[in-house]
Amino acid sequence: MTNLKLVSKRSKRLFTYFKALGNPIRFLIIYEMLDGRPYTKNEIVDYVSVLTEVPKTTVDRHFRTLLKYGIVRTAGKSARDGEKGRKPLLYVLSVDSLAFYANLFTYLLEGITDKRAKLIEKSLDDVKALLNIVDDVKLKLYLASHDVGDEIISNLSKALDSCVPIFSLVREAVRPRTFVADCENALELLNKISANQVILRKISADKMRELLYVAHIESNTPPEKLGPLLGIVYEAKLAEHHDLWDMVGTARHNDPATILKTLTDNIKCTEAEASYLISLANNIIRYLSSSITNQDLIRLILTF
Amino acid sequence: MRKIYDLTAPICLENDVVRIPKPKSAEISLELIGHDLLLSGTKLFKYLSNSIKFEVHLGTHIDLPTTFAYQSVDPFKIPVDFFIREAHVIHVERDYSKKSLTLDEVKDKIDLKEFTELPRERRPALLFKTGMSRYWCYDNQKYMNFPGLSKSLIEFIAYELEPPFIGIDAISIDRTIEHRSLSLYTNIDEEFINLLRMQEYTALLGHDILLRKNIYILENLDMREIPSDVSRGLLIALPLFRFTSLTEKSVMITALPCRAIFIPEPKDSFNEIIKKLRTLEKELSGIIE
Repeated sequence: MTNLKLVSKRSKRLFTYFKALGNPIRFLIIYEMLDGRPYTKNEIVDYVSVLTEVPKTTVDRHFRTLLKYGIVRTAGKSARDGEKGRKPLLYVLSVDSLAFYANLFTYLLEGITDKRAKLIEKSLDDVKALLNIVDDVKLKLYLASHDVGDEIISNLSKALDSCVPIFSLVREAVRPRTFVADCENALELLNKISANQVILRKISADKMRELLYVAHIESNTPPEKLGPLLGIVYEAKLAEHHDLWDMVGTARHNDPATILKTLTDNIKCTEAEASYLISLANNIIRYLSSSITNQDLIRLILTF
Repeated sequence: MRKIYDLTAPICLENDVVRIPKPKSAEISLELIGHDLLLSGTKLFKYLSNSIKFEVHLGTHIDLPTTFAYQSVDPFKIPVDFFIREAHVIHVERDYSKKSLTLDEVKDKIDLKEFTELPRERRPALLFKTGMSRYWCYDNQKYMNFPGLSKSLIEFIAYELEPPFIGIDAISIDRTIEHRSLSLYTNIDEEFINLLRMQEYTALLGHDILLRKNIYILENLDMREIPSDVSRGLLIALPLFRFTSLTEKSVMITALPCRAIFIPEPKDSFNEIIKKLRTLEKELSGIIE
């Protein structure tokens, strides 16, 4: 065992840094504070407690440990009043520990990024292999005579039905298509989305409401024209709510699937409707492109 | 087995004479081949054979960028699967005695997304059925007077569709009267090739635009048998010859005579599967693009 008396002050500090990381709660506290912003203790304790489902008292104890180690320090008082009417103290990572942990996490995350890149590369190789299979099957179907059994065709059809939407989503995230420019394309896209459970899970009811509203503002289409398209046909409701935001909120079925289905069923692609639909489709593309992460992609590709 | 259409224009023989349009040349002859036996000096092994001498731009052939000395692609290295791909058939049969084929005539018949949603190397070929095949061999003068594809159509193909190659059942995609002037040049030297590289071909502008963009041109197809309701299928246009170079400097092959066959898209339950596979192909190639 090394005699600690002989160890330099700098090395002792290093031991403290790693010791601080030695517990998952403290690890998360440090990771959360790594952006260098001042936080109140409550913010940190609440966040880590929710994330780990560990009692706040335990998180608080670990936070105080970090204070004792000198890794976290106070940084004045908050400008806002806390729960008890007093201005709570703010905490930041001390300058040297911030530099140390920032370097350490950068190093570690670069390693993860590197691994992720390799994982994606491997996944892309799988996609290429799949593409070759598609070519082979297509060629065989052109050349095959009629002796291929109905069962094989039926199974192939089912398999394609299940995997096409998944790869459609992956493709949309990797390389978003050119934004739609005409009503037919927009309609086709919305039809695809409304039939795709994987994509629909990515759009919450609130998000859908927001997307509908943004398209309404962008296209400058009057609400009374959009009401019937969205399945809100009661005169009273239209008179009562002049704003699309309220209208969608009061619609009986406001889940994204029903809204999109109703919209695509009712749309006639008149000039005003087309403008709204194109705007909506493009907003959905933008949203999906930004909300799908690399992890989603890897999961989607690997779970196929 | 599905119905297979042979799109190769036949080499028509009238006794020993090859009946082809005038600016082109071809000779076919029957020969007796004998092997000398070294010891006895007698010819014991004899058999009949033919020798054929013809211009590579004759009959069904693929024009390569090297035709105009563009050496962007080495014809010796084109993979064989390049010549096997789906094709869209555009039916544009009419009287072509005067007006060239325009963009307006074909635009509604082409689904742009079928091309643009795929990476270029996976795009289908585009075949034009003009109906000119019926004159091949029988009325070469009429066959030669095909007015070509309009510049706007050529530009639409070159810059919007960008298929790997296009095909036509006519002698050329450009106004064919210009072919005759080609016979003026007999000797090819380095200076001539440099001259080719420098200039733009107003006479063969369609060729020039497409070949600059590496869009090969499959000419002189025979599409008489393709029914009017067939708009898609599998095209296999394999070159008759496979070249390889044993030295660093390869011969500049300017066209590949080929045997073209076409298998129409199936209409039964296979059709649905092929459509789904096409969608999957678009998505997958979009991921790895």
